Amino acid sequence: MSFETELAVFAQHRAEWLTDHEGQFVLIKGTEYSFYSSDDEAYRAGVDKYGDVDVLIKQVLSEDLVEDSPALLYGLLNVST
Amino acid sequence: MSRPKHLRLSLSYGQLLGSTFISPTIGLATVGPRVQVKVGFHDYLAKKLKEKGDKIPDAIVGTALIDTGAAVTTIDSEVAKSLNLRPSGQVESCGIGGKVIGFTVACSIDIKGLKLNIPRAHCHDLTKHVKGLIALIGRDVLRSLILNYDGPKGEVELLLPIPASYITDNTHRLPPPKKWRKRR
Repeated sequence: MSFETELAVFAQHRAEWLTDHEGQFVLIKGTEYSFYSSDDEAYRAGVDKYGDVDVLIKQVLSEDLVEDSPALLYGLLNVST
Repeated sequence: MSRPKHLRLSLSYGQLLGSTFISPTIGLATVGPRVQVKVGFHDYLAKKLKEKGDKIPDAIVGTALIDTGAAVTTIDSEVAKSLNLRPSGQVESCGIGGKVIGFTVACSIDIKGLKLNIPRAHCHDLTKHVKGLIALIGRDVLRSLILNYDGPKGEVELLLPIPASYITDNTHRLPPPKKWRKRR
């Protein structure tokens, strides 16, 4: 599966959304979107609106957040000696 | 007696490897702070599906590594697949093997009865690297807990806030409500 349409909608509107919705979470399904104050709230709204389906939840920020996970980054979960 | 605000979960890491006893100090340093967890549906989705009469798959039990280096919690992709958890976002992971496009899923992680709902947990092939490891608990979950790491003793203590709906097991039984206690 891919979020091609949803990511395109996000990219298209990002600059405009930063004005009024910076820091909020956007729920995107196809070309429909709505804003929420937390990702959990966005998820619950997605379940109410669309049910158990794929949805894109993304925070409206000028740049995407980089979330560190060194164990995965360096593949250091298991090293035999 | 006042009701405790936290469940204290003490974990020790001494183990037998063949016939050799690995001391708790070495055990903890070697395997890291691990805890048994259950990964399942996000509570809100489970509630909605139950209302519709749909069957909710049982949560999957396994080991989680408490990873203070990780910003977000990661669950094993096979666990997400077997629970049929739907994607809630897309992430780009960079590792030694290069860039990989991955997904996030909404799920819950239950640590000894404390259930935390995570709307965007990352998915990764964890069991491919460590057998039985189904989650890396990141700082998004740790912000709700208190973690004491005692390297010299080889012990880890987790203080879990007790929600009203907390259901405990025999090992960590809460004192009974006042009305159940015998009057003296």
